[in-house]
Amino acid sequence: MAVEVRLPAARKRGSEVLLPETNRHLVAPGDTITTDTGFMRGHGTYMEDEKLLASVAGTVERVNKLICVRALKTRYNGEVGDIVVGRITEVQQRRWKVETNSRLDSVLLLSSVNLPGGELRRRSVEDELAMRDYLQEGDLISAEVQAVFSDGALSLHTRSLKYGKLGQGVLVQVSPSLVKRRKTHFHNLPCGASIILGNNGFIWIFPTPEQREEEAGGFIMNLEPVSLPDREVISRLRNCLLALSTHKMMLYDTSILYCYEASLPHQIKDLLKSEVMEEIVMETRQRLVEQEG
Amino acid sequence: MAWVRLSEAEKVYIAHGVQEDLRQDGRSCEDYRCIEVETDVVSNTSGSARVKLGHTDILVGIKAEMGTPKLERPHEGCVEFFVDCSANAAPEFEGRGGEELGTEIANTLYRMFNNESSLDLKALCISQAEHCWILYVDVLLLECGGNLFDAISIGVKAALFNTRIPKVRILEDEEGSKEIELSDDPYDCIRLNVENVPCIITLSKIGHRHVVDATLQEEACTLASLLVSVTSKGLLTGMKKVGKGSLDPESIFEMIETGKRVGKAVHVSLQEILNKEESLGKQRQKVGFLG
Amino acid sequence: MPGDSRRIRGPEESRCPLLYALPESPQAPEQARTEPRPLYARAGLLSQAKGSAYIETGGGGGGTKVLSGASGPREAERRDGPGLRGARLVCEFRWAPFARLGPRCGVGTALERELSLALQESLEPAVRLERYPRAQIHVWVLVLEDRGSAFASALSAASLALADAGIEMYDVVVGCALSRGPGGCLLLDPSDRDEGRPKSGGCLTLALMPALNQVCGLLCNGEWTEESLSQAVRLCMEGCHRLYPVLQQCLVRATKRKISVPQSGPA
Repeated sequence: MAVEVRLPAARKRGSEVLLPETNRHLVAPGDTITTDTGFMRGHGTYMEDEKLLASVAGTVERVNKLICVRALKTRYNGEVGDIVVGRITEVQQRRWKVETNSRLDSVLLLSSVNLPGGELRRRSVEDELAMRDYLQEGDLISAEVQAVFSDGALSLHTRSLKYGKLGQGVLVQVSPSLVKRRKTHFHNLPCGASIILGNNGFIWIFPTPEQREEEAGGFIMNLEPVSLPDREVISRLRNCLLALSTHKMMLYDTSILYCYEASLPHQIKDLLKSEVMEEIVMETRQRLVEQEG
Repeated sequence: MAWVRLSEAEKVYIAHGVQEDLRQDGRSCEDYRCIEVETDVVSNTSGSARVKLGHTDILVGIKAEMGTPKLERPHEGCVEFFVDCSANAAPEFEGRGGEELGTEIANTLYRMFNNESSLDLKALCISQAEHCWILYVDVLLLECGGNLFDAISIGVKAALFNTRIPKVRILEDEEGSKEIELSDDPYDCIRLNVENVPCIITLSKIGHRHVVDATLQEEACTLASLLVSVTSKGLLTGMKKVGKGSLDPESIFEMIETGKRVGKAVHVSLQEILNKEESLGKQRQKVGFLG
Repeated sequence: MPGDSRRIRGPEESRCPLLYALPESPQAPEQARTEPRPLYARAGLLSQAKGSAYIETGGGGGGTKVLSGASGPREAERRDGPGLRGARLVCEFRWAPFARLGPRCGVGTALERELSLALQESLEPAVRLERYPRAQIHVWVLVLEDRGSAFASALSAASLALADAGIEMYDVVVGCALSRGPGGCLLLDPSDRDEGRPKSGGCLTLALMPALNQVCGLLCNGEWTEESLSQAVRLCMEGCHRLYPVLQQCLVRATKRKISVPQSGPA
């Protein structure tokens, strides 16, 4: 049993020594980006008096003639093909409303899910009535963005065996801008747990399933108790993720793995302390720089 | 209380974890998250304290004002509690949503302090039946991250430790009219004895075991919790059951024992930090709200 | 008769004369009482409420009289939060202004709100809320005379009223109170003199479901050591078990009264 009370320590400014100083153009709303009229306007900008002004606080990105400002702390803006982890908020007629940390709740249509048994058939009236048997309010799912509606809401689909309802595990919420877009977001980490890095900032850590039986679209859940070593790995990963996100490091499988290895000498609950967090993030940063350099 | 929604599988995972004494963040069932305490953050008050427990952020301010004592207790001062759940803490506290929770916390604080030994109210009396000090303890919820009662009680104790009440003398004139004189020296003040001020420990029952210092996710899995108020000497000044579920009598006895043990440890650590902060004196770097 | 605007109303500030009474002569040393006082309970007496109950304890020299009513389940006005599953239980606990010894107490004080919330939290484990989704059940309790352990009687009365209203419950909730005298002896079912004694060690109220042996409500204040508190909890539980048959019989009698007596037809 441990109760630790301490005096607050002022947060140190993150040292930018280790990072190569790239020329980042940071702007605030109302700042002039450029007065050159030859550029096309992208997201986060507006035109006034022949000047291009920023409308969000973030970094300026330029691709040939397109200028856009990307906000650093923002709600998730979905794109087709992204993997997201979401929570069901509502069950409506022939659709589920899913919360994905974006401006509007995403939509999961009944026709976009795999029915149990893997059948490919037309959705009937009984399916509509039994929607709650498949997914209830509060359930977590992993899905892919199929389309973006005109108002910005996302349409999701789980038409693959790797998507579907999620079972036992831990959900960590970070800022969406920290998750790098990569080829695959489903990782089976060598330390003994699996991880799903949702582009919307929801990260799901779960014990690696042993056999890959032909599940019925992922609707049957395994509620047996998870073994203690697996739990330790999951808790350690969770604390590492929180440490990385507090120090604004990009999250991808290599950085998470390095952070996990750097945290092994410490006890899991010590990883919640700010000085230990700093230490392991420093070590992770160093290893990443060495690896790239 | 601010609530999060969890799926059934997540609740099962948390419950099994608690059974094996390994919670989601690696703590054991009786571990607290790291508590940060700072006193004297607001200069307009007689005493103030700020407590950060994980994501829970509490600010306590105490103002001492002179007033008339209650009719049935003419030789004692009194303490008034007020808890404000601002909309910053959680979106559901917007408007009048936080009022219910605030009244519940305030009533619990009244109950825990409603005995003779917690606070020496006789020291707050200036002249019997006419003047006394009334301590207005105002608690502000800045951020809600689970386990509000514990953080608030720690904040109240720290703020009471920090309270400085100016010394006052009543001068009697020849005609019999009384005059109140405040001493000029700003350092000439009464300090309160916080040895017996209780701290509330919340024990949440998840599955068959109970945990201390539940996070918001763990609170969503809890059926019933027991609030136990413990002084540094191990006396229990109050107990309350909250939640929709019922408790087994055996679990109640176990929870009381755990609460007493953990409570004593909290008091020891808290007093150590408060003394250390005091000894730093002027050199202490005030972190305040920017750190 | 219309109100007389020229009538002089009473003074704004008024005091109870007992404040000026001489302090009481030292009472005879209290003996520990381990049996609750005799209790009279009756259910189904109000015509307007769906379920009602009346409990009187104490007897000689005035006792605690508590009236309770229950209504519902009715459709709830709004659903917010995770209220989809299960009914909402709304409880109200009030003292009549003349109920307590001492000054007239106002209505809607903080203590009444705290006890209303405690009443709700004690009754929720006992009522089968999931059988009435999206509904609302109202329970109100009025203490007509408070001569000690009012909240405990209120718990019993409220659960009797709920059972009388035909609302499904896992078990009848029995409430029992206990106070600790300054000498450390434990008095079950204290009278108001025992509760209000200035140097009393503390008070404890427990709500129990006797058939399942589960504690559904617990409220205590004062100063206790761990052993005395455990012992107090055990004594309260025993007291609840003793009161349980009385409440059960009261419900059985009320049900018998409701069953219509078969009319003997014309000969």
